Order: sequence, then C-alpha cells, then structure tokens
Amino acid sequence: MFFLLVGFLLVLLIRWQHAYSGQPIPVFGGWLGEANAPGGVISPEFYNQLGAMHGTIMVFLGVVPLAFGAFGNYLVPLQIGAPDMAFPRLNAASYWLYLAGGLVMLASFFVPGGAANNGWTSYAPLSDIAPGHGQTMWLGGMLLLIFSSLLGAMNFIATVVQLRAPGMTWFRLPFFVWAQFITAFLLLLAFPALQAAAMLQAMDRLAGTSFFLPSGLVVTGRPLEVAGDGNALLWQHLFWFLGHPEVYVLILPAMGIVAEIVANNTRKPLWGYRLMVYSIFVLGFLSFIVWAHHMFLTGMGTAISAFFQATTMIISIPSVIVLSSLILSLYGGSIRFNTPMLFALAFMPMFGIGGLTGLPLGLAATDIPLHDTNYVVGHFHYLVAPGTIFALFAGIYYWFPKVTGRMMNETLGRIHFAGSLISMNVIFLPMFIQGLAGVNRRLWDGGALYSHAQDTLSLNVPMLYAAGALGFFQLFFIVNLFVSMRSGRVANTNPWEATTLEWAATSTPPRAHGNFDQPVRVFRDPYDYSVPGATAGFLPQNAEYARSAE
Amino acid sequence: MAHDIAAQVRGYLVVFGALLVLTLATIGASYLHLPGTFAVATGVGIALMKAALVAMYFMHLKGERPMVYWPLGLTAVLFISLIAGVLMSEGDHLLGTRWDDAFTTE
Amino acid sequence: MEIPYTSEIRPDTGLTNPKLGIWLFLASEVMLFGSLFSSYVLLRTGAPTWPVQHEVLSVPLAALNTVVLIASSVTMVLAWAALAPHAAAVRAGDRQAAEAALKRYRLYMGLTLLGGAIFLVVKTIEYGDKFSHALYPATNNFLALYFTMTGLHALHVIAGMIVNGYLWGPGARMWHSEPQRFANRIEVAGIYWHFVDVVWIFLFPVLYLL
Repeated sequence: MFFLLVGFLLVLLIRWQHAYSGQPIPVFGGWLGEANAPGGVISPEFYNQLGAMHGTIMVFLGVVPLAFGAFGNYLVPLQIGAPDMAFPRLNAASYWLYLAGGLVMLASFFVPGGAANNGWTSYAPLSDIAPGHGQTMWLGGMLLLIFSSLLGAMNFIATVVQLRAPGMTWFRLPFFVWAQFITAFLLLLAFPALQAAAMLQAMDRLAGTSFFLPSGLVVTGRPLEVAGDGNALLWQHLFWFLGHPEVYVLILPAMGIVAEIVANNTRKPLWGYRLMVYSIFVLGFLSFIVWAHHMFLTGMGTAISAFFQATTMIISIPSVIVLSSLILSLYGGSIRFNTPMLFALAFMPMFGIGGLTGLPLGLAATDIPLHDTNYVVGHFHYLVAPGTIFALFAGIYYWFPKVTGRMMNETLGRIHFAGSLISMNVIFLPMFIQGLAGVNRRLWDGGALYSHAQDTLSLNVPMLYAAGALGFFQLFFIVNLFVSMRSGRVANTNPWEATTLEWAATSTPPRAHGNFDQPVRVFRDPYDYSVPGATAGFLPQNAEYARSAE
Repeated sequence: MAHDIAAQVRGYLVVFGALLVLTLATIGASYLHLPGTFAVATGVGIALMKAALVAMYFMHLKGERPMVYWPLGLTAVLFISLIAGVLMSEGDHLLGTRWDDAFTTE
Repeated sequence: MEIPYTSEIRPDTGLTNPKLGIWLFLASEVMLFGSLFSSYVLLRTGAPTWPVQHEVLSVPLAALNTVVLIASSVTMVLAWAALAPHAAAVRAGDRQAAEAALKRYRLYMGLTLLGGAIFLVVKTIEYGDKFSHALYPATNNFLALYFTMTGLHALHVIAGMIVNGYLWGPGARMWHSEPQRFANRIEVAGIYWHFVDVVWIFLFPVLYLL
C-alpha cells in the first residue's frame, strides 16, 4: 500500500504539470531539487521519470503485490482449509525479492540522471540508449520483482492443488481462490518473457550488444557505433507477451474479491458460479494470444493483425460473462449496503466503462486514431483505478475484522467511497474526450501545442483538482485504518455472517501458528446463503448438516 | 526388488546409448549441409527426440499424473504461440501474414 | 499443523508438493528459454547476413560438452536409483543398507558434479578463446545471442551444482532421519538437472550446427 501511495504522489505531480504547464509548483516545488525542477518547474526529463515510474510502481509494486501477494497469501490457505502455503520458505524468499526490487526502483530516483524515463513500457531503442543508470536500475528491479512473482505463482498453484482440506472439491472453492489460481498461471507463464527481454536490454545497455538496435541509428547527430541488425519490435513483442496477461493479473483478483463480497451481502449464492469459473479459464488462456493488439501501429501484416483483432474481440466475451454474472447475482438478493459492498457495487459499472472503451482499441481500424492518446490512458485507468483499486478497498474493509478483530468505521468508509468515486470519474472521464480530440499521452505540456485539441485542454485543470481531492479522500481511509486497528468496534469471528472457511473455522485475530484450531472438513458449496429448509440464514462450508453451526 | 532396480538401471543405460547415437546423428547431419529448412527440421527434430527421451525416462515424465501433464501441455502451446506470433508479425513475407500475399500466386 | 504432502503423495492428485512445484518452475523456465529462442529466430530470419556458426564456434568442444552433460544426467538419475528402493529399509532401521546406499549415491552424485564442472571448464575455455580473438557479445547479434543464451544456461548449471553440492555434502544427513523425503529431494533436484541438460540439447544444434 505504501507503494500505491508513492505512485499516487508521483502522478499528482504529473497532473500539476498538465494543468499548469511551465509554472512552478507552489510550496513543494523547491523540494524536488534543481536537477529535476529548476525554479520549481518540472523539467521534461523529470516529467518523463514521473510518468514511467508512476506506471511501474503502481502496477508492479502496488497492485500486483497487494492483490496477488497480500490478499492471496493471506486468504487462499484460509479459504481452502490449509495450514499454510505449500512452500513457506519460498514465500519468504518471494517477499524479500519484492522488497529488494522495490528499493532498487525507489533508489533509482536518486542517481545522476534520475529514474527510468522511458514509459513503464520501456520501448527500444530509446530505452536501450537512454543515458544514466535509471533505466538499468529499472531492469535490475524488474528482474528481482519478476523472480519474486514467479516463486509466488508456483507456491499458489501447488497450494491450491495439493492443500485443499478434505471435502474441498474443485467446485466448492470460493471464486476468489479460482481467480487467484488462474492469475498464478498467467504470472508463471507470461513473466518469463519480460525476464528474457530485460536481460537482453541489460546486455544492450551494459555489454554493447544490439538486440533491439537497428542498423544506422543516429543519436544526437552521431551514428551509433554498434553492430546493429537488431529489432526494436522484438522488445515490444516480448514485453506485451507479458504485458497483456499482466493486465488480467491486475483484474482477476479484483473480480474474485468482488464476487466474495457480493455473495455475502446479497445473502444468496453467486449467479453462474460454474459459468464464471469456466469463463476465467478461457479468459486466462486467451490472454496469451492477444498481445499484438498493443502493436497495431507497428506495421504488421493485415492478416496477422486480423488474427489478433479477432482474439481480442473474443476475449471480451468471458469478461462480459463474469461482469454479467456479478450483476445478475444482485437480482433477488437481500442487499446490505455496507462499505465493502458499496465499493463492490461501484466496481461493476466502472469495470463496464473500462471494458467497453476497450472495444475501439481492440479493433485495428479504430485503434489508428486512438493509439497512444489519452483515450487509452482513460480506458485502462477506469479498469485499474475505480476497477481493481476499488475492489482492493472493498477487500480491505471486508477482511479487516478477520485480520485485526475489529471493524473499520462505516461513516469514514462511506465518505472515502463517495469522495473517491466522484473524483476518480472527474479525473478519468475527460481523458476520453481529450483522446478523441487527438491529445497524445505522455506529453510534458499536456497537449498545449495541439491546435486542434485546445478546447479539451481546459479539462486539465478540473482533473488536477479532482486528483487533489482524490488524495484528500484517501486520508479518511488511512486514518480509519490506523485508528480502527487500535479502537475500532470489536468484531466476533464472523461479523459479516459469511460462509467461506476463513470466517467459519478460525479465531479472530488468527493464531500465530497454523490457521485452524482443528483439522477442517468441508461439506458444502461456497455460498450456501438462504438455503431453503435450513434453520439458519447461512451455512458455513464446514457445517455438516442444514442447521447453523455453533 | 533387486530385479526391479537392475532393470531400471539397464533402462537408463539404454536411454544413454540412444542419446549418444542421436548426438552423433545430429553432428553427422550437419555435415550433409542440407538446405535451410531441412537443416532446421533435422536439427530441431533430433533435438526433440533427445529431449523426449530425457523427459520421459530420466525425469520420470512417462506415466506421470495429469496434474503435471496439463501445465506442461499449456506451456508447450504458449511456447509455440510466442514463436509463431512473433515470427508472423515481423516476417513480412512469410505465408499468411498479408491478405494479398496469401492469395496471390506468382 | 504440519504442511501435508511434503513427502507423502496426495491420493487424488498422485503428487507430492515438491514434485508439482519443480514441474511448475520448469514450465516457467521453458517460457524463459523459449523467449530467448524466439529472439534468436526473429533476429536470424531478419538479418541480412549471418555468420557461419560452426566456423565461429568449436563444434568438437560443444559435442564434448553435450556428451558430458548427458552423462551427468545419467549419473544423476542413477544417484536417485541408488537411494529410492532402499528408503523403506532405512526407515525400518537397516543401518547397513543405509550406509551402502549412501556410498553408492555419493559416487554417482559426485560424478554428476564432476560432469557439471567439466562442462563449465570447457565453457570457460570456449569463452576465453572467443575473447582472445576479440569476439565479444557486442561484435554481432549471433555472438550476442550465443553469449547470452549459453551464459544464462551456464548460470543455471552453476545453480544446479550448488544444490547438488549441498545434497552431496551436508544435505545428505537427511538420508538417516527422513530417507523417503531425501530420496524425493534427489529426484526433484534430478528433474531440474535433467532440464538443464534438455536446454543444452536444444542449444547445441541451434547455436553450433545450423
């Protein structure tokens, strides 16, 4: 979460630069140092660092570790009835590698030349020749982070396969576990491509090779003295071979969290649980064969472009199935509007907007004017910010009583929710308008020189204030988090009256060693709420008979 | 019990022999200076046979569980997709990468 | 509660945790080396010229290395076969069988380590020979790929040797306390080592012969 905050602070700087390009930042400008911001004005080089590191930190140091590493490691063993993850020491190694990678990334800001400034995508040949150590440290940090994720992924798969408690059959698994299981496969098989690419780029930068450097490259007037004959697009292929499954890594745990909270707060089973499971299998597999939709403008042949366009269109189907199932799960439910549920409910239309805006990007022809514009930025932020991050907030509010034995404050939660929802929309909705007007992404001046897009540039100002507001509303969450840990309302073992094993069979807060007081046996499906004929409104998975467990 | 071990060890030595033969074969084939595609096919083909022997017998993959076969099968499919996808996206004149190239004859 | 199935087989999957774990790890390694192979394919098919590989590199040395690595794979699996059938007897307290098996195991594992060492020595000779002729990764893309791919492979050989060395030495104490678990460890380490062999089986023709 710390890294999410860091990434957020970086982007606040970016938004300032867009809104008031060329003007010094009041108060804080001097803190950035003369190299980065002479006279308090963000320099173009520093702006590029902000952009690249905001993306890198949010994705690889923020969302993935929180959604997959933190939520997954904590909940998956509990939800399947296991005493721990399958390989505890590997788990520890995975954490320390993550920390090392994170420190390398943060340290890169303080070397001469600053942090990496070639976009989170580090396209060649620019990233190959970028001066300074920042980009090289980015590569080193990524190698550490990727290794961390690979170890984690192995652990998750082995745990889910091998350590399910007796009676926990595959189709009794909570949907959250299925989502993490598929996510683990995506990480396991896609990350190595970026691992290889990072090694090749490191060789280019450090050993003078030209894997990604074509012949005849001229840099600042002088021809580059390398062997040449490299292929810059090779980097893009390897990067996006990971990059596309990576975005499904970002969204699948979120879908899992939302599913758990929806089932619990509608007091009925998920609609289409099996369908959702099959859908994420299909989604996972397809995510590996859509990657070149990020490369429609690189000059690929029309037939191969059509192939990737087709697979991209097809992959929207399982996503829609999952979203529709979540929405249909609300029908006929007895909905409780607590804070986790508010975030989970908001996830649905926000994810819908994010997904729908992806359609013109997935079609090669309409991608031509939209590629690399702010439209793309709006598209993916809708999916990750009011999408995944909302799901993560929902998860924190929901499982807080499990971890700490106390409830978070509802009023502060609602304020946090409302403020975040509104400000996020004010930030990201105008991006579609700007993108459609042709404003490119990653511009230091926010598009000031585009004569055809002048009307849309004034939107940068409310976007800045909305970003500030978004930051302000997170204070409610941060305060809530820390104060409730000490003095929140004490919760019993199962304050949400949930059916899944993490609530049913453990003490709160959890014991130091081993998850469960006694060996667990599972008898029921994951969401046995309001079972007709039962004496209780919900039946925990380890309840043997259709009456309430003690 | 002793027979089983002896048989198992014999099996491993037979596989070793086969691997040595195939190694000689692949070196020998390189001396034939076959034209491009055939050279690749032969080299990769023999390598696949050697790899299969090592995997099936040394790595005990023969008779392993489905839970191992499925992830490996998926990996194989994705590996092929990566090579094919990259090659077909960048190989401008390979068959099937452009509509017009694919359907004209010259 | 202890973590189940670390050395006993889970009935419905038929696997122990480490056995599944090592195959999952190898799946990711296949994708890693696979990405490098796909880079090779792309760079070579797109290059206007490409050196005649077997004239730049030494086929005889690489052939030797191929035989050495395959032989070390055989000795590795024989090391496992020396232990696995006797695990039950050791559990039951048969000290003589334990000592005999351990000796045989140490012989074969030692040969495996020797094979790895010879491989690395030959590789060092090869690299040194290239450097002395001013042939570096930066010289051209073929050499860049050669050094990168064989270099990454060599790192994997070193890692394998560290693990095998530990299992030959201090790690072998587990044979007396938990024989089945130790035998499983040798099998799992073996699977990794065989994979390193398999990668070389592909590297040899692709980088040297084609």
